[in-house]
Amino acid sequence: MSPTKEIQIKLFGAFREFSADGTLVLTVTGQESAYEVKNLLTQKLSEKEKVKFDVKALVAKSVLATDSKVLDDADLAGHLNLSLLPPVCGG
Amino acid sequence: MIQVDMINEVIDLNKILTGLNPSEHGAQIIFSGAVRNHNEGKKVLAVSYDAHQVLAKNIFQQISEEAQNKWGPDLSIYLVHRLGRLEVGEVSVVIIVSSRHRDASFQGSRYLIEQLKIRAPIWKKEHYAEGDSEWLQGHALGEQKATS
Repeated sequence: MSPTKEIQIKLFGAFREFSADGTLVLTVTGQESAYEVKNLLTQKLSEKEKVKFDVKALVAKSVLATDSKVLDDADLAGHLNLSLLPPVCGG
Repeated sequence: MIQVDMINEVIDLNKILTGLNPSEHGAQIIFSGAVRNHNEGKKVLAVSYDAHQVLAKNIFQQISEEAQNKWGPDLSIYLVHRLGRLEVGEVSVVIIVSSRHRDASFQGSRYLIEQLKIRAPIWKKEHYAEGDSEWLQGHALGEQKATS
């Protein structure tokens, strides 16, 4: 069994409703793809009581990012702090 | 010149404009976005803005540099977005672009607001007269076209 580690996910927009401090801790092996991390997030968020929308659909449209850039699968390894960014609507 | 910012306070346009217009520039476009009192048939009272501030400022800088690459390095850009709860009529975003001639300012200004809408990690929650609130659906990062 692979060793696991905890990563911190910052939540924004509609996802903020799930956590008072705007973060979520996820246990991963570090080998997961972005798709797999998003599936883990869907599971974790779906357990929350405040679900008012289709979590799976919104996570699917969201991306993972660091403080400097949006990540793809190849960039994911090694980051202990990520952000989950739903579709944007500034202005 | 490029200046970008995200702030929680009221955007003071007069303060921003002081000293912004270089003397070699004959054109200046000021775009101001404000909270509208309705959306999709619902009466809106206010909007709360959320953002990934560090990444958003990086994106502001990136799109500003792209504008300078397209319309010339002397394009002068000031871009500020407000966060927190804004009532109807309050200004949420200001983009000021100046250049030697008007065409670059018009095009640069339009480019910046369109790119901001589809690339900057900013979200808004509308508060309605009926008492409910809703996070607006936006553009998935990576999609190409802004609609409003």
